[in-house]
Amino acid sequence: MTVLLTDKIQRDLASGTAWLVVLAAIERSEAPIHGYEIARQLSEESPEGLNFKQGTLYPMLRTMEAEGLISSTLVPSNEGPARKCFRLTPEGRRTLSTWISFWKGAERWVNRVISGTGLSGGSNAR
Amino acid sequence: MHADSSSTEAINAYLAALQHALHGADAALVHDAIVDAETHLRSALAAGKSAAQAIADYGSAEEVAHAYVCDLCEAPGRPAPAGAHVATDAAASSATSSSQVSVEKRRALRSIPVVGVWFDPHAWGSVLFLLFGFFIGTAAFVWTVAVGSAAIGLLPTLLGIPLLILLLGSTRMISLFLGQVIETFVGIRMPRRMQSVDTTGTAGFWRRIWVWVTDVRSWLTVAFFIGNFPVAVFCFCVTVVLLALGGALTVGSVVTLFSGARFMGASDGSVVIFDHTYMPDATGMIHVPVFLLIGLALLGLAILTASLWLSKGVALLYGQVVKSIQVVRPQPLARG
Repeated sequence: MTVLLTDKIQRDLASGTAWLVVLAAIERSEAPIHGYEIARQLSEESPEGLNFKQGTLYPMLRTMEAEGLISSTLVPSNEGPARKCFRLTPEGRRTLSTWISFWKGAERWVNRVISGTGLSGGSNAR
Repeated sequence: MHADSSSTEAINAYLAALQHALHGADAALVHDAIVDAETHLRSALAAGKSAAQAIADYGSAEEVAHAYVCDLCEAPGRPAPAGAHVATDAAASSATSSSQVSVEKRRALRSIPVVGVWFDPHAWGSVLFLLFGFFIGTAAFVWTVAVGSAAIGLLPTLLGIPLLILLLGSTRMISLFLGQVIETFVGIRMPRRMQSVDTTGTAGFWRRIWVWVTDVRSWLTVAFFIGNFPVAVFCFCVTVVLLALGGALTVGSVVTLFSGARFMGASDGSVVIFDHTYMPDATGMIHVPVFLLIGLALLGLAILTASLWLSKGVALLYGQVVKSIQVVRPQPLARG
């Protein structure tokens, strides 16, 4: 049961933060960035136990594009087919700013609560 | 770097599993999920990863399928299940609730039997699509016939071959554009891309051309653009006639009603409505019974309502045809 709950919190944390980090990864990139590169960066930087599944990235990118948060261009690639490269729109930048403020509020809230437990969180519950 | 046959087999097996996991989902969504996975896994192989590692990083077929099926229901800014949001800001909470009320109102209006179609943006979008579709259909027909004729005529001199390739490549692009127009106006989800083709090096260029020539969708698209022309003309004419008739009856009757139920007759002075001849008075004005004007206005509104339903139905059918051409026979990774 504990393992199932741990799996659930890992999945929920990954999916709950994925939208924010994907948008942030696009924003911090100086040039338009393609899906594979976003996935590679996020996988490399994701903390242990919070496994970011690269396959969940693409439907997110489609939805963000449909919502006008990002725009895309097809760029020829030397490593295969032409790639869709993404950049943030002004609307996307405003939205990211709002999401970051939400995230900071949530972070403060969680830190305040867990700081009272006396646990450092260094060991893996599994 | 090229994938070996075992990597290709592993990726093909993964794509088949993903397709199976998406069984029952929208055909365009399945198509996009397969193209995304194939493009990503191929990039991973080119970057030096093993197929097993690339697939593990990408996620299980079930996880990925779930992400595609639920991408819209989990998207920020869209109505979410009750309790899904924690209110962190009073203004944001208020804005969200007012927008949800507005969405609920629109949904309630759309669900009114028969006349609810007036509040359906996709019904109006379908009308616009049938009108603009005429111009797209005509342009695509002219392009297809002109380039196709030149290609066939010049085939014996070999100059026809590049023209034929130009025709196949361009019609695939026009088809994707038409798909996006349909998605915007009619609301049918359409594929975002055709099947991706590895174009690494010179061999990749020729491979792309070969895929265009051997892909059944290229030829179906050419046939569609030729056959679509008379259909687009017919739809355009019917839409214009129905809108003009319904609009004229409604607006004409309402204007006459508010101007004292009288109007100027034709040059001979009389006007016939439903087999009844109305003669002008001494001032040349024709007086029409109010009940008749109300009846004509209602008839006009009925014609407009029927036009909206008809446009919506025809545009949906139209969109399904275009989508079925774009997603037909999805091609798995065919290298090896």
